[in-house]
Amino acid sequence: MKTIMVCCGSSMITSTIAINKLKTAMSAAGLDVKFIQCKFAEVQGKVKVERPDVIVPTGALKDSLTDSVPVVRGTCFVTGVGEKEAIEEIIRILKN
Amino acid sequence: MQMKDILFPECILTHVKAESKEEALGRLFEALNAAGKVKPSFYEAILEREKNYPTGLELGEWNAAIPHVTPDHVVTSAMGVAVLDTPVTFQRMDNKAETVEVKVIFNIALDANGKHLDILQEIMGVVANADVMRRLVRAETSEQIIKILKQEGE
Repeated sequence: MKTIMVCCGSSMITSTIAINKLKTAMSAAGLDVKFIQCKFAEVQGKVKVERPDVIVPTGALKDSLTDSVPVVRGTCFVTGVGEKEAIEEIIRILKN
Repeated sequence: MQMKDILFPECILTHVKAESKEEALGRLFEALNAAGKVKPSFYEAILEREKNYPTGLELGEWNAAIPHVTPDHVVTSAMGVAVLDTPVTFQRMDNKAETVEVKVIFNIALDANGKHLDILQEIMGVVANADVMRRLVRAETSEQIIKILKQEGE
């Protein structure tokens, strides 16, 4: 089981959109994935406990918070621009 | 609940003349507040959030911003829309250090009761659709904007 951490500013609005799209994409790719949803401010703490395989922030997240876990920028899941490439990148990381 | 349920003519502004995002967001707040949709704390909360987690989206032809806050600043769900005569500068959601000239603001005010996912998907479908954005920018009245958004939501 792989874990994707999806995070956003504070209201869980954009991360909810991203998770919904990722759920569809991951099941289409045949990957069994657990999702963790949190705020940017919670990333640093949660990343140590949950050890996700990849972090998908919908906005700009400081690199210093991610504890060297790979990050794929998820703003595309809000705008629709570049979604396919991001999904491919996430799948590549998860299969690695 | 769908997007059409949170569109109110009095919260949709066309031909907005604003020099800055603060002024544009102020106009939206006044409209939403007068309509009883948001609490007085909404405006400050939007500006604060925009400073920390900006929402400007670089879309190509016409750019948009989707400022939003937590439900505690909202009375009842609504979406304010402002189409600006001249774009104003927002910081970009994917990179705070960069800016984007925003022509259409979708000010999303959702209360804690709503089933938000469907509405958000609908809104994002609109924002990401260049043809819809083009039609919104050309609209003359709030009724026309609502008509365009309702057609798209279906």
